[in-house]
Amino acid sequence: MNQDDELRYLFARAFEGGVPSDECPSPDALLDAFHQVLPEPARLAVVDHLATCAVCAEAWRLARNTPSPAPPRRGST
Amino acid sequence: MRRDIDADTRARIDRAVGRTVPGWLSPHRDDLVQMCVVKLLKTRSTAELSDAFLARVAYSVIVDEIRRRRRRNEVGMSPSLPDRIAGSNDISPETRSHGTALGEQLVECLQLLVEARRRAVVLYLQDHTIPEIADLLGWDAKKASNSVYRGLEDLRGHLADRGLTSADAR
Repeated sequence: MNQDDELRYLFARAFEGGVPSDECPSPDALLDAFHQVLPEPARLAVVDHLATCAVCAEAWRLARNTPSPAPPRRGST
Repeated sequence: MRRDIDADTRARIDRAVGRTVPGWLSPHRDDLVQMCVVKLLKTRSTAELSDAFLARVAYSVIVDEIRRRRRRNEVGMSPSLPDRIAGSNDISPETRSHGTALGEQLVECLQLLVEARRRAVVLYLQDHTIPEIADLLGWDAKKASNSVYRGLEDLRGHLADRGLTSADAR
């Protein structure tokens, strides 16, 4: 395990102290952002939220196990 | 429109829940499946009950349940991590025992990064590759790579300012 993985470990562990808020995106928005179905401005807003919310960061990690609903929209705005 | 949830659909819901549910919540898998069924029965959507649609319903139910349990500050909830990290022997008992507090400090330090670097680092810490980060942020790979590199450097600097270095965390 490298030092970056150690940072990944600590970032994930913040989940255990995290509390969701009214600002959390819906599960659908998280999933659509993960799979790049959500248009870019909204997708970036979700990514910004992940930096502040360890609970949504955990939900994002779980999205890896879901199938993509549609082809990614590269460069969508 | 009221749906009928037949045995085959229920089995597919069960598989969708099983793919996404974190280990600590898996003992409640049957309850989660039932929540999905109730959600489907209540929905007015006429969407076809495809596997992709059922996966979306399962994900939504699981995330809602995790949020509900976090609001109640339940114990025994552990994050989902790649096996190489979760099972690593390189993480010291000290880091494991103080991991939540250290993680919360890391999240605070993330807020000190400039926007572009913060976005890149957050996705990197979520175990995304550089090409994935570039796609998600609408950048080219070079910008993604540079932002991750410089962002990690900044992040380590802010952690060091708090007396938290990698060595301390071990």
